[in-house]
Amino acid sequence: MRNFVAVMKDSYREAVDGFVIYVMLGLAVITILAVALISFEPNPADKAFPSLVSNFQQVFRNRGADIEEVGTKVKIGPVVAFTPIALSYSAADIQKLDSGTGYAGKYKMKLTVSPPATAGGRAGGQPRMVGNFQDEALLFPTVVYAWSQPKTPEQTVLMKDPTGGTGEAPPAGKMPQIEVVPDGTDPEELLAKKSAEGGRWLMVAVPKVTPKEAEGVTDEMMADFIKNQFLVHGDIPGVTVTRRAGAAKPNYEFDVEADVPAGAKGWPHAIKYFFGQLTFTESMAFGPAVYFVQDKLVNTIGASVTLLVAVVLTGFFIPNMLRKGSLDLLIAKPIARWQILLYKFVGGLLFMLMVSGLAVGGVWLVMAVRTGNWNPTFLLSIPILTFAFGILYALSTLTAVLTRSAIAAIVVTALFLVFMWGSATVKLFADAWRMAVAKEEDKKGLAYTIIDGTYYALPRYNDMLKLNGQTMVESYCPQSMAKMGRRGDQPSWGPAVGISLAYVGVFLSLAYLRFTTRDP
Amino acid sequence: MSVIETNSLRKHYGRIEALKGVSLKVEPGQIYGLLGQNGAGKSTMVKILLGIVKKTDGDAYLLGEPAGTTNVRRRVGYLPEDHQFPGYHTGRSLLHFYGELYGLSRDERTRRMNEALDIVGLKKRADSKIKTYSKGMKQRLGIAQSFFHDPEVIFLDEPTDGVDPVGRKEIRDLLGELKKEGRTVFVNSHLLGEVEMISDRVAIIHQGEMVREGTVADLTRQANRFSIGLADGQEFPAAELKEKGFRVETANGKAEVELPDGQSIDPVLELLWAKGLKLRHLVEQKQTLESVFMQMVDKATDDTDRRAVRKARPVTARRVD
Repeated sequence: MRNFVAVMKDSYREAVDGFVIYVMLGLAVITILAVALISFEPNPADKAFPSLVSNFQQVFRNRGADIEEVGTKVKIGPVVAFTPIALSYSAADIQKLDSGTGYAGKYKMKLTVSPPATAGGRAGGQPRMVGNFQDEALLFPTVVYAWSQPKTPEQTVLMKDPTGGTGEAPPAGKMPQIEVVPDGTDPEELLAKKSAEGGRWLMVAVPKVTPKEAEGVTDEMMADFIKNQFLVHGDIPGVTVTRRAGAAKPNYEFDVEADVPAGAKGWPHAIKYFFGQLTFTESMAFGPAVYFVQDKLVNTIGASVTLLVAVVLTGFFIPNMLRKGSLDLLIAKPIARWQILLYKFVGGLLFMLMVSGLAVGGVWLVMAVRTGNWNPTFLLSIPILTFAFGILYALSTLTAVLTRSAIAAIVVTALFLVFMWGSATVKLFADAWRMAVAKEEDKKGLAYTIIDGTYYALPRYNDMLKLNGQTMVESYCPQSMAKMGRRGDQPSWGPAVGISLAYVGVFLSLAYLRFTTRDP
Repeated sequence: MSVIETNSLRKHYGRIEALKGVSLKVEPGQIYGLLGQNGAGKSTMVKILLGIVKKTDGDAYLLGEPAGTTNVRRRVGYLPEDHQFPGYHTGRSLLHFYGELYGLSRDERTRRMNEALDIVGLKKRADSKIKTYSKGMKQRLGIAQSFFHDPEVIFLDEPTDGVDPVGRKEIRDLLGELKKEGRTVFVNSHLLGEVEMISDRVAIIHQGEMVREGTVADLTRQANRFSIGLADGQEFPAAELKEKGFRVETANGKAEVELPDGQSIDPVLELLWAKGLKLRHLVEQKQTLESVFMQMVDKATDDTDRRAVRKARPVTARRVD
């Protein structure tokens, strides 16, 4: 233990000896100060609730519990969340029932659900979603029914683009022309046939809910649905909903009372900079805003720069130790060679721990002070970044022992980092493409095997960062974002850490073998 | 029990045979000098004893234990040749680092390093970064780190390299002090004069082989050669001694007498006595260690390879019309 402490102190001295460490620490401090200048101003209720309920179009099945990918047969790209019918949700007559300061407190409002104002879609003229009923009054019950089911059967339908490709909305209340693809019919063939007849036809997958099932949806189910949407999208648990009678068909109206807690993750905030002088956005959910600053700015951009610089800086540590005349002094001391190598390796990690500890810890602290959100999940980035660096530093150590060259250690390690990053990026695109293609046979092939094989054979540096990001999403963001983040193939901590650790072990073992069997 | 003992120690670096079966013993409390040219195998010998390089064959023991174990290294000090201390340390922080590796407590380290830095004259610069030290200062720091932890054996590889004459004298004195404290000092050097002045025993190693070993007096004694001086006005009986088979040379009032093999100085003294001559000077002649070393090296080289003699290349001139 005494030897370990001695080498750690020595590594610390080595790390703080050059000016680069001070540049890095200075950059970390600048980052912290830059983050400290970001302000989060909660939107007033009359602006916040309409913004919040507009997200209710996004629905998760199994009473809000499941994330499910639907529409994988859609040629226009993957539909990543269950958005069965683009109904319009609006909040009005918003009143605060208590006199507390801040946005937290009890509110009441009228919530109106109405058929799509534009039956067509979003910019670019692609319809976002359709229903399979021509009766507009059944659209909302269809959504609620699909929401309540663990698994709703899908049906493929062809829809004539209601915009005619112009992107403009059709007249209100006019539903697009729908053609249900009968069972046993190849939808591709039918699509080709309809397109040949004229017009722009699109193929989409929609939940298969019969009119009878939709008509069976009760007021209580609708109220539960809305309560669940407040929880999932707004992180607001205390909500009571009562359906109002007498709403004009095909609309549905509800009286809603919501008890908004302080720090509700979904409450929209205005994100401003430099004492409010510069506005990034007028309305963004609080949790995602915090997540964006911490994960995207610090964990992604900051971490990449830090890792690369750390690889360069620490690349000199082991070669310096192995210099002729330097190593003899150390080996002649009562310390085993494996201890020298291992402790020196851990000493390199200490460098990363210092830098990431200051940057991440500092950003977390100023964010906590600025927002009142003391959630410590972001601090997990410190050990994760250090561990990710450990993979690289183990390779740097091996290269240094084999070549005794700092330049070789830096170049090999930096190339490995770029290779891992490249492999992860290619895999990301490949996965996205696989989600987009319909046929199973299109998801296989030599190219995919090479991409997957390379990715899974390499240390899971990227998986760890991804898992870290996902952990942060789940911690900081409303459930809706967390569920969205879990779509697709998700890595798990076991293989991510295990395989990376195996690489570290192999690199260090080879370095040890070389170090102990070769005369200095 | 010998402090250092090697038997038929061999070391190969690939095809190169750095040590060819070297055997030696060093007794406690001695200053032992290992002499040899660059590349003779001196440093390899020490590195094997300290476990820095692995032996190819033979035995090596240090303080009664197989050489190179962690436990043994705790009891020895070492100054390598061409050492490079980490430049980011100060003299003091380096000794703290090494002291921790030797298992010394903080108080003990502080006390001993102050003493050691004082002895080598570095106390005033102890808190400066090593990268600002001169070569001599680094050498003195190297010596300080080799003994400050109270080792039983100290290995010094070229300890006076880069040290000025005053500093060398201080180092010699220091080694004498260490010897007085009962420590064994093993010095590798090619500075023969230094070794001659401080060593109790000396070994000469050449191309990986031990060519001579003994006390300095043994090695430098010129067997069978005496310098004899008589009282003023008396003539040395050179002719009579030559008749009896002695070789005699006279110069500056003194005679150099070389005894035939197997003969002692007694017949010469008896003759002087019988002739009533008064003896004023009788000294057995010695050589310097340097001349002994050169003889040994030349002899060993004669047996093997001769050093190449560089000759001027012939130049041919050609007339250009």
